[in-house]
Amino acid sequence: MGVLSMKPRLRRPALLVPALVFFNLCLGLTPPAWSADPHSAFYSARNDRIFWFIHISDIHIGATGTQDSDNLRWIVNEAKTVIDPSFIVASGDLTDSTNGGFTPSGPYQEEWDEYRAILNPAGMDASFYYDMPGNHEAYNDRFFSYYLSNAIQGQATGQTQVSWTRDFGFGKYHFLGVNTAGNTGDPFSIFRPWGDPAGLDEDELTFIQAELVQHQDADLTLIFGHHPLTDTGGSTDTWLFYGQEAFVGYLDAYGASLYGYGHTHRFKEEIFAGNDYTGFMQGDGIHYFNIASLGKSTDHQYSIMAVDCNGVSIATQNVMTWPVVMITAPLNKDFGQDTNPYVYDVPGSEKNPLRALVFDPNALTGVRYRIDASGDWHSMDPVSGNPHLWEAMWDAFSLAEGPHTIAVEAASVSGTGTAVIQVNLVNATTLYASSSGTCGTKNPCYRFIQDAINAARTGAIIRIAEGTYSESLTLNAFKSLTLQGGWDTKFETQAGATILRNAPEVPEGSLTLQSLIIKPE
Amino acid sequence: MIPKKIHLLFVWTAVACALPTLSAFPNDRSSDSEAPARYHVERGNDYFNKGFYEALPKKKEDEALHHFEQAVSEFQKAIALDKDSVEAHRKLARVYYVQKRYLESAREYRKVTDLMPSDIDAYVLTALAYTRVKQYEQAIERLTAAKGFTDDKAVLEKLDDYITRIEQEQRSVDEK
Repeated sequence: MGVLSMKPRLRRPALLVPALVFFNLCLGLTPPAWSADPHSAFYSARNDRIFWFIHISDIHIGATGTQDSDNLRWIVNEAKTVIDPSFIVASGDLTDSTNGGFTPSGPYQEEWDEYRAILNPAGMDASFYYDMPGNHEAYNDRFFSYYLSNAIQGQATGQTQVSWTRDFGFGKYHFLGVNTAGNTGDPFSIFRPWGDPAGLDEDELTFIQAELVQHQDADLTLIFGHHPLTDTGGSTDTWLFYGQEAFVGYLDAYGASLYGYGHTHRFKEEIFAGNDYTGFMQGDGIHYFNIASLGKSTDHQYSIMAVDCNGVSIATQNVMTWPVVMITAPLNKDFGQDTNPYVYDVPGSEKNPLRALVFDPNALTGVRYRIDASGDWHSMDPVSGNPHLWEAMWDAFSLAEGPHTIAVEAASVSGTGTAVIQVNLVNATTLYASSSGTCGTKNPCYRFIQDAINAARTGAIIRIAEGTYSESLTLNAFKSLTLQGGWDTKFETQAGATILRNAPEVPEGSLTLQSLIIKPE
Repeated sequence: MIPKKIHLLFVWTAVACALPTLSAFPNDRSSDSEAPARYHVERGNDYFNKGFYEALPKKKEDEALHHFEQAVSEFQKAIALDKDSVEAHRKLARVYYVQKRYLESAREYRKVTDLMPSDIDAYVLTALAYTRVKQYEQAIERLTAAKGFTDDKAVLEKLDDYITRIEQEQRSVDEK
């Protein structure tokens, strides 16, 4: 984790980004690839480009009753074992600061002792459990002394914000936990804003910006904090009262995919693209995800976030309920009430990939899917080497263009779990493939040529960006396709060279090759 | 070469600047009786901060206790010099509270509300201290009294919510 010191706070991050690039160039540094891009999600049959993690918030250890402790204990033991996440994120209000009283008056070391008494035996450490402070850690503690002495990350890093990455071989992913709690140490007050002057100050923003700069080579950036970015409309909520413009500017300029938060004890998912208060984003916005309270809410108590071929999916669940089912490919075109701007269309192909994660402590008796409510159920198969992932190829050839529903259902002695998503089916006559995963404004865009071949209907043209491709291509279906190389990365001119390391194999169908060089190494 | 007069001026300035720093140091031996109440409040704050933010989170309970006792002593000295110091009473109440000396804490918070009747948060903290020692009637009386000093609807609702919760806790204790 690196900290860039003495960097002045910049309120116009959109201007900051090119300025930093220029600064790097002046120093003779090569700017990193600018690849953190929520648009990089791609529809693929590849079933080995997936990871997932757990997001919890508002644990409130020390609150009246035992839900707080019971649920945290379940998350870090049974849920951790069954779900097997890459890591766990806890976005603030780790403790209640009441110690069983009717109003916050802490911090209380007793609450922190209980927190660690749950986490330590479960093996939670700083490489797996990412906890950040909320307003309940800030009451009466302007320096976050108790968080720094007792939280997993506070103790390990000596800081109130945390940055980490995961490199899975198929991509690098950057995560940030930001400290949105105020830094005044105000006590809780019965008057608004209830001792909660939330925000991000210059030091905090400097850290955030530095980490975003350092990890610009990440495929995706996902950020977590405690507070909402803006007014929620809830009469008892607080949100970022300072630093919001710069922070939202960073989310926009550095291509963050998601801001996950808690605080409100409500569940909501929407696309946030800025407003008058935060400033409007120039991009398509972020997944703005509000998880309810693990310790105090009665539902939507935790979520599983999965990244499959750079597409983000979220399943929100109640504790102690199995099985959990979430569809990770194709992507859901809906995010709450909003349309996901980062979703891809699905092709009218005979063989469309479908993948779902299923978690259950008991053996599954079956996993099946159906297309639309009137469709028949079809079984899915477990993916070799990934005991949680199930897959199938679904036939969209005879379906009409437009919206369709995909449901996946899993059953065991635990019960039955179902996930439902919406997709948009498009029968494209021209498809695009680029190893960068982005095709300018052209759609549908595939990172792998093979996925485009699978998706294309007979008569389609697949345009391929210039560059060298090492895929082993196979057409094994009764359809005629044209592969057309030499296109620039925006697919506006066809003057480059596209090299295939392997000659395509065509056991069935026909493949016409144009402007392609087949040149084994 | 610095002229001697200017050199002396530097020395004098340095001493003058250092004096306030020295006087704020916890081991300063300047006369308590001559010091203003504010001075003792600040010393009390220093001791409290050492105990509560440095020692206690690191589980140095004995060290924390030592600092808390010194903080109590300083806040009491401040009150002896200025019995109407709201800040001194409030800080003393806070130290007593973290020491789990709840009745003494409630007594000091009551003094805060006596001196500043509109301080609703102090009524709440008084009530909280009373509930810690199960003096529920006193707690409810304090919250009910607070309602007379505000017409903020949201605050009144919150006070009623607190009263309800205390009544529930009281019933729960009585049933046991």
